[in-house]
Amino acid sequence: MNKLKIFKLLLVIFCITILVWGCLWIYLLFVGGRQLRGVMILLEEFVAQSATLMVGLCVSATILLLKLFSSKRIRHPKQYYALAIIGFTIAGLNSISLLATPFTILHANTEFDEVFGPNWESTIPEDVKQHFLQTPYILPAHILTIPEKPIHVEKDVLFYEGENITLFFDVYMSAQSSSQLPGNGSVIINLHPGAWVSGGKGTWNMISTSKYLAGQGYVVFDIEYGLIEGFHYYAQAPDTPEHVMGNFTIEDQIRHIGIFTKLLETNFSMTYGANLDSVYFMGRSAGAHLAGVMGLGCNEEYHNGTFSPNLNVKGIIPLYSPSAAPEIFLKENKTTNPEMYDAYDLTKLADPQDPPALFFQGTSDGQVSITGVETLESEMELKGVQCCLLIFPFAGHANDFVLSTNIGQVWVYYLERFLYLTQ
Amino acid sequence: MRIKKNQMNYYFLITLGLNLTTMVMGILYFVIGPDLIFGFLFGIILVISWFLDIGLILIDDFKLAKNNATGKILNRLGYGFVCFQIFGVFCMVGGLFLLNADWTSPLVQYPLIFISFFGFFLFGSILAYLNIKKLDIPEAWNFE
Repeated sequence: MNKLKIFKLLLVIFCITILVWGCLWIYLLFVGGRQLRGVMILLEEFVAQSATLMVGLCVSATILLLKLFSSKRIRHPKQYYALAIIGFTIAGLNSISLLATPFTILHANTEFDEVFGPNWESTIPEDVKQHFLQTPYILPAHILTIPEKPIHVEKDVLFYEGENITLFFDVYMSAQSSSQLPGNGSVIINLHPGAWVSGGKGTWNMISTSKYLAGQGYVVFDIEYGLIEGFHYYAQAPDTPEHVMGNFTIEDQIRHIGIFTKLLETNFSMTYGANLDSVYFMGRSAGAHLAGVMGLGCNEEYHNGTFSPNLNVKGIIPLYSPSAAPEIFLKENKTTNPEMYDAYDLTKLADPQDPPALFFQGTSDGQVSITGVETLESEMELKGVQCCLLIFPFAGHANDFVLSTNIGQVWVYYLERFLYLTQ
Repeated sequence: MRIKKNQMNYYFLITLGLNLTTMVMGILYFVIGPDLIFGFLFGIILVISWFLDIGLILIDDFKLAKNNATGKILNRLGYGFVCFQIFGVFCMVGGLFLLNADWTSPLVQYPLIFISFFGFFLFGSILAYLNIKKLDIPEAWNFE
C-alpha cells in the first residue's frame, strides 16, 4: 500500500469517527446522559451548546468521504448516495437544538405574558432597550460571539475565615457608571453548581453571564461557600478548591452565604457601589437550590438572623434547580425534624410575599429532570410566587456555558428583561 | 450532473461575491454589533455562502478532470478546503468555549474564532476565483 492510500485510509477512518461522534451527539440531544451515566453525564453538558458546530463538522466529514469515494459514484452509485444520505442525516439531526429555538422563544414569550402581562415588552423604555439584545437569536452572534462591554473584575476577595476554611468571592462591575445602565447597580449573588460537594466560583459558574450582566450595570458577586467533604458525586464539578472543604451541611452553606449578605450590607455595598434595594439570588444546580432557599427563605421565621434583613430581594434565578436538599446533606432527616427539612424545601418555602423567579431548564438534563422543575414551578405558582420557566429543548445540564449559542442568547435575552422588569 | 460552462461561471462568481460579502460583514459585525436587521441579513448571507461553498466542492468533484494537471490542483485544493473546514470547526469550538473560561487570554480566544471564520470564507473565495480563472481550460473539466 503506498503512502497516498494509507493517508486516504486514515482520512476515511477520521471521517467515520466524526460521523459516529455525530451519532453520539444525537443520542445525547434526544435522551441526555441519564441512561448511560459515567462520562456521558459530563458530555451532555457540552452537547446542545456545540451541536450547531457539529452540523458543520458532520457536513465536512461527509463531503470529504464523498470526495474520497468519488470513484464509487460511477461503479457503485447506490453506496455513494447512501453514504451522502447517512452523512447529511446525521448532520441534519444535530441541528435539532437550533431548529427548536423558535419554540423556546414562543414558550418564553407566553411565560412572560402570564407574569408581566401581554404588553410587557412595551413597558421597557427605548433608551433601556438599546442596551439589550435586540432579538432572541441571530446566527452571526452564535459564531462571532456577543461583543463584550467594558467591565472591571476583582478576583479572590476574602470574606470569611473560620471553621478551617477561607471563602472568597469575585466581583464583576461595569466600567461605566451603572446609573446610566439598565442594572443601576442592582446586586446579583451568583452561587456555583457542584451538588453541594464540589465546584467553585469562576469558570464553572459561567463567567460569561457574570461579565454580560456586569456590562448591563449589575454588580455580580460570584461567591464561594463551604462544601461537604467525604461524598463522591458521579458528576463532580471540576476545579474544587481545597480551602472550602469541611464537615458541613446545607445549613452551614446557607449560613456562609448569610455571612456574605451581612458583609455586603456593612462593607462591600459601599466598596463596589452595590444597590441593596435591588438584590437577586442566582444559582446553578445545587447553587440554584441555595439561591432558592435564600430568595424564598429570607422572610421565613426559621431563617431569621441568617441573612442581612436590609437586602431587598427582587428575584431569584434558579438554573436547573433541584427542588429540595438531599436529606443526607442536612443535620437531621425529614422524619426526625420535618420543620427543618421544610426550611430547605423550595415548594414549602414559597409564599405570596416571595419575589418572582426565572427558571432555566433543558429537556435532556440527565441530572435534574424537566418534570421535577415543572412540578417545582407549578407548586410555587400555586403558593402565589410569580414564575417564568424557560424550557430549552434538547439542552442538557449546565448548557449555558457558552453565552453566544442559540441557548445562551435566548437565555440572556429574557434574563436581562426579567431583571429590568422586576427591579 | 448536467451543468453548462456558463452556468458554472455564474455559480463561481456568485460564490466568490458572497464569500467576500460575508467576510466584509464579519468585519462590520464587530463595528455594528448584534443589530437586528444587519444580524438577520448577515445570517442569511452567511448560510447561503456556506451552502454555496459546499456546492462548490461537490461541483469540482463531479466536473473536474482529475487526470489533468490543472484539474488535479483544483481537486487537491478542494480536499484542502474540506480539511480546513474540519480544522476550522475545532478552532471555533475551542475559541467559543475558551472565551467563556478564565484560563486563557482573549489573545488566544479571539484569534481561534477569527482564523476559523475568516479562513473558511477566504479559502472559499480563493477556490471560487481559481475555478473562474481555470474555467477556460477545457481539458481541466468534464463538460458534456
